[in-house]
Amino acid sequence: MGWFYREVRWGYYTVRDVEEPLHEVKVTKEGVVITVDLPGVRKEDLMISASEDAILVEAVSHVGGAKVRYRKLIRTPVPIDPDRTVARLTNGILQIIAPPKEVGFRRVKVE
Amino acid sequence: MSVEIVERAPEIKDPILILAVPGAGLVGIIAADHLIKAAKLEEIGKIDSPLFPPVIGVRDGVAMNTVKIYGGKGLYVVKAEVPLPVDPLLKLTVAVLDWVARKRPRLAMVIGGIPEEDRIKLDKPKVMAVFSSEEAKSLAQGMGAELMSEGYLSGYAAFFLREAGRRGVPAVAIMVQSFAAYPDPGAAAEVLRAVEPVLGFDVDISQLEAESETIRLKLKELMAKTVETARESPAPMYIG
Repeated sequence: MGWFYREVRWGYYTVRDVEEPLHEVKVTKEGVVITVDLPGVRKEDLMISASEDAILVEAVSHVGGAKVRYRKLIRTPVPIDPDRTVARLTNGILQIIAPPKEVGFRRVKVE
Repeated sequence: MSVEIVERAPEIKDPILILAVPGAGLVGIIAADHLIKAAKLEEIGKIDSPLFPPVIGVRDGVAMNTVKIYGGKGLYVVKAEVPLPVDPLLKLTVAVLDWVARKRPRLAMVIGGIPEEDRIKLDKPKVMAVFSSEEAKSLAQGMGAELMSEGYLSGYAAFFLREAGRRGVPAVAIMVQSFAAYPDPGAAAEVLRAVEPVLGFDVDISQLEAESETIRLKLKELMAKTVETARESPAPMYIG
């Protein structure tokens, strides 16, 4: 009976304590390209952290007089290089480009 | 199973019909919402079918239909508040066209977004139009949309134009470059600018632009549900 009692609340404007923003992840020749919809967010209110397999996006904004906090941990489909990861915020749309982690072979010493 | 249309107001003569369903960027929904508010259109009817998903709106503890008809100023706006899988969407479209054909409309429009990969780089997304016939094209003189000159159109817009043509209803599909999976009030504003000359009254876009961020946040979950529906029911959902 799962669907019968499913909570339906989309379409309603209720700002939760922490909003999970809409996001998309694509793998392109540049690497992993992530976009995140962050309405009302300015550059100075945004914090992005990167590891080899995830990006954490945290932000605060004021939308329609209400304070909105965003937080989203996004797992990357392939390992990325956090040191070469770049981000750009345009009209509240964040675009993160994370180049793939370079995997090199190393000689293994035989004992 | 049928689609039932209940109309609770005197008929509008020679109306223009706008059909808005959730799709790419929720462009149709955002444009319809703003038009309803700006032109002070009244809710004058509802559309229901056992084919529609088991979802109702709730206001003050009372169930409400999710496909509504608004009217006024020579205009009908039919708006689906929830994303519909392909089969119910096509049946709704046919029922709405049958209903409006009896009113001998001036023009029937469907408004939607075309997902544009580089939307983030576009300040002013392009609005395009495809008409059902030469007659429809001549009726929409002054519309600020670029005509699709040559090629093929497939999907929901094509279905809408073909079914309108079969009923002798002059119709147009208005499409704008938009985000696929994020609500796009900017694209909706461009569509309203384009169709304003045909509507015959001014539509103040400034409030839509001022409330852009609130709209994006407010429609976040409907957008997510629309993407999910399109994924589960893969078909021509790139317009709406």
